[in-house]
Parts: sequence; structure tokens; C-alpha cells
Amino acid sequence: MVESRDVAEHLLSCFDAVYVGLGECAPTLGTDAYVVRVHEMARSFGGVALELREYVGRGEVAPLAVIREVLDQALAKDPSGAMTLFAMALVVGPRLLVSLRDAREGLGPDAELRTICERAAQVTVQQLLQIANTTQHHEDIDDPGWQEGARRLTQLVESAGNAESFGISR
Amino acid sequence: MNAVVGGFAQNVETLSRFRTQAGTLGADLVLSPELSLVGYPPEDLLLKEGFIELARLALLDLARATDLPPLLVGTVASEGPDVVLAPSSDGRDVVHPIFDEPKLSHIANVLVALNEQGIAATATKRLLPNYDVFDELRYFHPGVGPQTIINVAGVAVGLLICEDVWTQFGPAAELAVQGATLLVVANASPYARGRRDEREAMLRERAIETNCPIAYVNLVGGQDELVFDGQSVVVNAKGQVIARANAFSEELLICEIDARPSPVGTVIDAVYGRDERRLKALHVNHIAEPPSEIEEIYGALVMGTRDYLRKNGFRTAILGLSGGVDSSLVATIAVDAVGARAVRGFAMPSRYSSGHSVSDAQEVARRLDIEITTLDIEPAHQALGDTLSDVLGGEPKGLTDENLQARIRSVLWMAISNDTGAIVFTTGNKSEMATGYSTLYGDSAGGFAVIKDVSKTLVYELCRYRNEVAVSNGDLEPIPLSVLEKSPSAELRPDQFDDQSLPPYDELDPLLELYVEGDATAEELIARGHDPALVLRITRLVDQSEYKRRQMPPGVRISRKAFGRDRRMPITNAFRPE
Repeated sequence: MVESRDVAEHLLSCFDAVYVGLGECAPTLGTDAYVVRVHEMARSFGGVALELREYVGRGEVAPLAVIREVLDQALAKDPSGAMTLFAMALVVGPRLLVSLRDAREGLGPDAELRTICERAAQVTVQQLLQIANTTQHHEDIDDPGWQEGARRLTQLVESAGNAESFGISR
Repeated sequence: MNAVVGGFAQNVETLSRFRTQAGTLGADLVLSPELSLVGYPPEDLLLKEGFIELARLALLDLARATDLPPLLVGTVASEGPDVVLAPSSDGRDVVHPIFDEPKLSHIANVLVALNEQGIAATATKRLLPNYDVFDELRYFHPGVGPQTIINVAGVAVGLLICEDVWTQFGPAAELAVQGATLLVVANASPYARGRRDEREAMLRERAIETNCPIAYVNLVGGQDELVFDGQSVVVNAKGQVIARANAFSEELLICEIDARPSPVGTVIDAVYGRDERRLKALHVNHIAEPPSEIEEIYGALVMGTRDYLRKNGFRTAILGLSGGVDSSLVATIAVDAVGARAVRGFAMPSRYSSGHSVSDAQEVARRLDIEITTLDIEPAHQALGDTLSDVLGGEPKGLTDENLQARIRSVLWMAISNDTGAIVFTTGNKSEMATGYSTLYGDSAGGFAVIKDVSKTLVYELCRYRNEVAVSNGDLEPIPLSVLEKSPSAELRPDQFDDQSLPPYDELDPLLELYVEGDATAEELIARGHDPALVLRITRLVDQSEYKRRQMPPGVRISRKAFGRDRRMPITNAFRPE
């Protein structure tokens, strides 16, 4: 049986990485609509991180490095914010959802953490859908360099052993 | 998608997750594997009304999500003929009677098209496979009548299910004749060696035959003995691969397909508009590099093992570590499947165990970073020998004594399993299973036989492959050279080696492959130049061991003919060819 605390700490490290990563990059983005979306996303994921932090209680939990790396690289390759949204929609968001699903399946009778996980999944789904609403009014991106950069983000998480999810514990 | 048989809630969640993600990316249509809502193969669960009812409710759950892109979902329905539905006025719970009243005598394997108004169209599987591991005629009625074509953004998309696409001038060609300009196929195609090449060659032929691009989506994951490898693929109308998903992992494969518009007069069953929410870069077609054959086999073993544990609620696994190559490989696969913390090894030396068997077992455990415990079976061996001596007129000897040791080990494993809830992995390989070179209720006892479909020579290849992977990643090789270089031995009597009972494995395995997987007769094997005496000995061993194989635990199928679902032989039979 996986320990609830291990799961909560790991999920906290994931959500905190998203919160910090998006929060830091939002003000620097070059497209206004993306600034707003990324900022809102940071706040939503930060809300989940806060719930998890309260559940975990004392102790430092470092943000998951691979998520930070993905978000940092997305910003470095595309300061407009489009690649950051891509990273959340295709690389980070879906893996978070699988981790949350596996966490719920692996947990014992811990109603509090289960509720947090369910809320976290709802937040993640809502945020993915919001990305679509934000990007629908923007031009297609045909730059092959951009596309290669986007592909590398997926390769980055896969090579870190996160092909499907970020796991449920360290 | 990794569907769970009967896991309706999980499957709805997974489908919704991918559908949400596809919506974010502005996909026009989302295709999921065969029976994605109920899992594959559901077998006799299909004979239970409650199962069909839950499938119906799960479909309605999916149909309620009207703000997501159109989805093709595989499920079961209670009637055979294709039924096309007009969108209902409120687009919610009103569905055709096909999904209302389960009639177990008329179950069909269907692909349901969902749109923003709910259920829009269905397509029924036409060709029902009933060979190898498939039993579909036992459960399903085939589709009849006109086939289903839906219009997606001006393209006439023909719907097919798995076997339908394999037949030349079959349902795929009929769809093309009816006006389809893009074919989509929902599949649950189990992994076997060489299967991906075969699939892609078939798709090339079918695309050229129909002049249509084909999107072929396959299931991922383990289900009892079967493993589905994914590797979904899209080919253009010339049969060239334009997108391919990875093997053995869930993935949303995004693909922009260039298809001709629908010809005038095409009968369309449902119409879908184009979603303009698009981020062009997300539509880059990804062509995953196909894995090598050995990488694929290893991936199948890991996924099959992981899913057997995960889907059956096991958190931990235990196994006997003998210091031999089989148990070392099984331990390595187990660690790759569920992590070192979830695997525990036991060294159980007997009076005949060599010193290096325990030290090699400990070295494997150290390299894999798993816990290992040594349990001396000598006291139990002595006690059981004493107990039996009156009945046997002395201490157990020969095979009786050898099997006693193997069974003491299994008793201990099962006791530990009872106490901890861990599953017991057995470590026998296919060569041993074929020839009956194992102890019933001894080394063959357990919960899951990880390498039961892996021949001994392939065991060595897999060990070398896994060691190479470790080296290329800068890690320590999990299987020490000393394990790979020593002669195989059960160590149940002094100086015992496998080749005293069996021919060398490089002679045995090719013979077994021809006899078991190729269904060759002894006569044919002799005609191919094999030693007649050896052929007769081996074929007799295989034939006589059926009663043992029937009592083996399930294990991952990687060959085209595994013992169990594929190769079904009567135990009781008088067939003795000359």
C-alpha cells in the first residue's frame, strides 16, 4: 500500500512546480492574452498546491525538477507564451491527470486526500479547456524550429521516465 | 489507451481525459480503440446482463459531455444491425433502443460516434475473429447491411473495427466504394513477435486498395495473458506511415490527415463541423521510431507484468532468487514494472545448493536494490523426509526428494504471500514448460508466470539486452556475468545440470518452436534433418506435459502461439502419431 503522505508530498511537488513555473514566467510573456491565461493557471494550480501543503503539514517539498525544466525550456524557446501553453496542454497537464488517477487508485481509505485529488483533477481539466479558449483566436504557428522545440519537451519528460505520468510517489 | 475490462468508471475517465486534451488541441475527431469503454476481451462477462447495462450507462455518461470534440468509442450493444440515429431534440439522454434493452442473445461489438448532441451513429463489427486467442463468435453477432460513414469537416469517414480491415476486398473496400475517403479503424490487436510489421504491411495494402488514408488506433496494456502494444499508426493513401504512436504507453497521437472531400452522392450518417480552435504546432505528425524486436519483447513483459499487478490490486511481488538466469531476469522485469520497493527476493538454499547460487542471488538483489532474505529449507527438508520415511521405507530419494525441495519452497512463498498480500512470481521459462521440466506445486506454483512464453535462449538474449540498456544509461548491469556464464541447474541433487535431462537449449528451442508454435509433426521435424531419437523424445515430453501446463499460473504472451489460449490440447487423448 502506498503511504498517503508519500503520495501527497509527491503531488505537492508536481503542483508546486507548475505553480512556481507558471507564476514566474507569466509576467515575462510577450502576448497579453497568454499572460492572463498563464497567470490564471498559476493561481489555479497554486490553489491545489496550497491544499496539498496544508495536508502534508510541516516539511519542505522541492518542486518536481522535470516539470520546472519543461516550463523553463518552453519559455526560453518561445517568450510569447504559446509554447508554455503547449507544454501545459500536451506535456504536463495529461501526465498530471494520470498521476492523479493512479494516486486515487493506490490510496487507502484516506477521504481527505482523495477529495483533494479529485478537485485537483477537475482544476487540471478546466485549465486544459481554458487553453483552447485562449488559443482559438491566435494564428497558427508554422515555424519548424518551434515545432521541433515543442517535440523536445515531450522527449524531455519521456527520457526522465515520465512517459505516461509523473508517478504517484518518489 | 489502456482500458480496464469492466472498469467502466476508469475507462470513462481515461476517454474523457484524452477527449479533453484533444479538445484543447482543436481535433476534429477523436478515435479510441476497440471496446475502449468496456475493455478487451471481456469474455464471459458479456453473458451477464449487469455488464451490458453498466456499459450502457457508461456510454450515456460519455454522451453527456457535449462541450468536447466528437469521439468514436468502442462498446457493446444489444442488437446486431447498424442503426443510424437522428440527433435528438435536447441531445441528452434520448438514445435509440439499441442501447436501451439488453438482449444477451444479440450482443454486437460496436463503434459509437458521439457528437455535441449525444449519440449520433454506430458501426458494427462485420468480421468476427475466432482463431488464436479470439473467440468473438461465441459472443457477438456480426454487423450486416450498409456500413457507416460520417462526415467530419467535409471528409467522408468510414468506420471499421479491427478484423474488418484485414480482409482484402472486404469491409474497407466496400466503404471506399460507398464514398468513404478516410478510413478509421478501432483495434484491440494483441502483441506477438513481428505483429507490428505485419499490421503496417496490411495497412499499406489496404490504403492502396481503397485509395484512402487509414487511421489505425490500437489498445495498450496487459489483460491477463495478453498484452496490447499500442503503436497506433496513420498511413496516407499511398500506404506511407505519416504518424505512429509509441509502443507500450498511453498516448494521444495528433495527426493532420490530408483526405479527399466526400464525393457527391455519398450517404452520410452523421455530420461533424470543423473546430476552429487550433494551435497549428500541436498538429505536427509524430512518427515514433519502432522498437527493435528484443526491445519490444522486453517492453511487453514489463507492461504485462505491471498491468497484471495494477489491475488486480497487488502492490508487491515476491520471488525465489536462485542465482540463476531465469529468476534474475524475472526480478529485473519485476523491478522495471513496479519498482524496487515493491519487489522482494528470497534465497532458499538446500543441501544441494552451490555456494555461488546464494552469492549470485544476493548480487542480483544488490544491483536491483531489492530486499533479499535467505531462508534455509534444510530443517523443513529433514522434517518432511523423516515424516515420509515410514511410508517410503526410508528417506525420500531421486525425483521424490528433488520435488520435495521445490515444494517446500513454494509452501514458504505462499505463506509469505498470505501474510503480506504479495503476489508470487514463478520463474519458469517456455522451454521448461514445454518439456515439463518443472515441479508441479513446486517451482511452477505461484500467481503469475512472467516468462512462461519466453524460451531459454530468449531468456539469455533478454538478459544481455537489459544489461546493454543499463550500460548505455550509465547504470550497473542488473544481471552479473557469473549468472549468465554458469551452466543452468535446478540444484535439486548433487552436481545436477539441465543438460543431463534435456538437450542443450540451442538444440532444444528451435525444435520446440517448430513443434509447439509451428504445429510441425515429428515426421516433418525429422525430414528437416533433426535427430530422429531426439525428435521423438522431445515431442513425447511435450505431449506428456499437458497436465502440468494446465495447472500453471497465467503469464505474458509474447509469441504467436503460447500455451493456454493459443495452443489448446486435450490432456486426455490417445493420439500417438507414428
